[in-house]
Amino acid sequence: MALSTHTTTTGFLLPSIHSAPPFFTQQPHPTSLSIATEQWIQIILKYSRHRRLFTIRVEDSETTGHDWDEVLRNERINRKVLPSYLSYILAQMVSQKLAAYEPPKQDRSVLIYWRLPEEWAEVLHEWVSSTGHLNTIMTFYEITDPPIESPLSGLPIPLLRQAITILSKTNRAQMIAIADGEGVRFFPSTGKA
Amino acid sequence: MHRLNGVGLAALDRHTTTNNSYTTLSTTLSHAQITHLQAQLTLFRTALTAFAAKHRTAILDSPSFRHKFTQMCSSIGVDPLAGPRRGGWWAEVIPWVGDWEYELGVQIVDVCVSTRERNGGMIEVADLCRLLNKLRGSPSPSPSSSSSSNSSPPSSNSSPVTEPDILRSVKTLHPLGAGYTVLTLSDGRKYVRSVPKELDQDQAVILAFARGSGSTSTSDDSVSTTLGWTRARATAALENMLLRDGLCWVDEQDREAERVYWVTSAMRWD
Repeated sequence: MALSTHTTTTGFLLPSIHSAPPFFTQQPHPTSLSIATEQWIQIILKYSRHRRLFTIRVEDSETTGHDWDEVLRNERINRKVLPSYLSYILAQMVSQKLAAYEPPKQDRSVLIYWRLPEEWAEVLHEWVSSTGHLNTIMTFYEITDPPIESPLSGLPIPLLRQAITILSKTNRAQMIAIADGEGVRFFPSTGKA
Repeated sequence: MHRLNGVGLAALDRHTTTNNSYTTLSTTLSHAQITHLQAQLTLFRTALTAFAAKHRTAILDSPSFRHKFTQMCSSIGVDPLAGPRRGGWWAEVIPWVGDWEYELGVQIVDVCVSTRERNGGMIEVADLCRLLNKLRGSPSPSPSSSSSSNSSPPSSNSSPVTEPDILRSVKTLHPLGAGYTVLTLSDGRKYVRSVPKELDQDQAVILAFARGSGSTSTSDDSVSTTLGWTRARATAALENMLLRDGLCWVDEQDREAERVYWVTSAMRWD
């Protein structure tokens, strides 16, 4: 039985290992487990980048009809990732700093760092400069839901906050309390970061 | 009167003289033979060197030609792999055959080490062949090559590697003491083992069974019914393979059997 890759309806190419039934079972042998988990993490990161998804929850393995169906289930071989395994995979991602529990202090839902917060900080500053918003006060809403699609559209607030914190360490951003909640002002890079 | 046919002292002398002459004759003959033999060997060596040099490209490029060449060498009783360590003159004659085999050997070690974690140190020769050719960027020699080839390189800078090449190279790896051996299972399939561990007899049988039955997965039921073992023995062997040696993966979501064991060499990674 030869395994093959499969392209999903959203145009994502699943690797051939995804067509192997044992891939969906948590392996008892530690080496096999780490290899399989590594593969799963890669698939999750790539898929989230492809679809611009930021969160994954253990609950997603328990229900259907959501964004993660294509990856967590394989209807062709009638297998799915069980909640206990997904929980383990998420824990691994967090320990490798590829995701973070969001909201903190629970372990059912994570924010996926398919782009690290540091990288988001750069993308954010870049976008703010190029759209001419430096030195003006912006609301979070303006950043995550701009009228024109940007690389930051749909960015979850916690991640935006992290990016801003990183920028403020190099004096390129400053959080400001405004009437409706929170705002931020961006400054140009001074060259001496 | 010569009737008594030479007896007496004279006869003794003559006897000695005759012996001496014979000895001299035999020495002369032996020398002649040795010289003749040496001349022949030199002629042979020159001819072989010329042949090897002339067909060097052919030997390196074409696996069938290479195979015939090594067959010819072995039928003469000459080992083209004997490198400088044996100090033979082969090292000067065809050093590049040895080099090629050693290079292949290094690549084999590379592939075995990188797949060791996935398949527990046992890799089927056909798989090894496929991966080696992928590594070298050369097309697979067999017409029925892997199905997952969404990236087959159009040009190759080295020749395709075949099973006899691999078997010979593994032999050259032997003096490294790393335990690279070729195991042949009862159904004739060959595996290269890169971990110096004895394969449990039961496991060997199961591996052969799993592959031979045309599928790559097996459950303890099918093992026990087909091989006639008790369920306990089948389960124990499979669990050992799974847990202790990492030779297979388990699938717990199969509807028919509780646990289905997949032999890792069946699973292809991109």
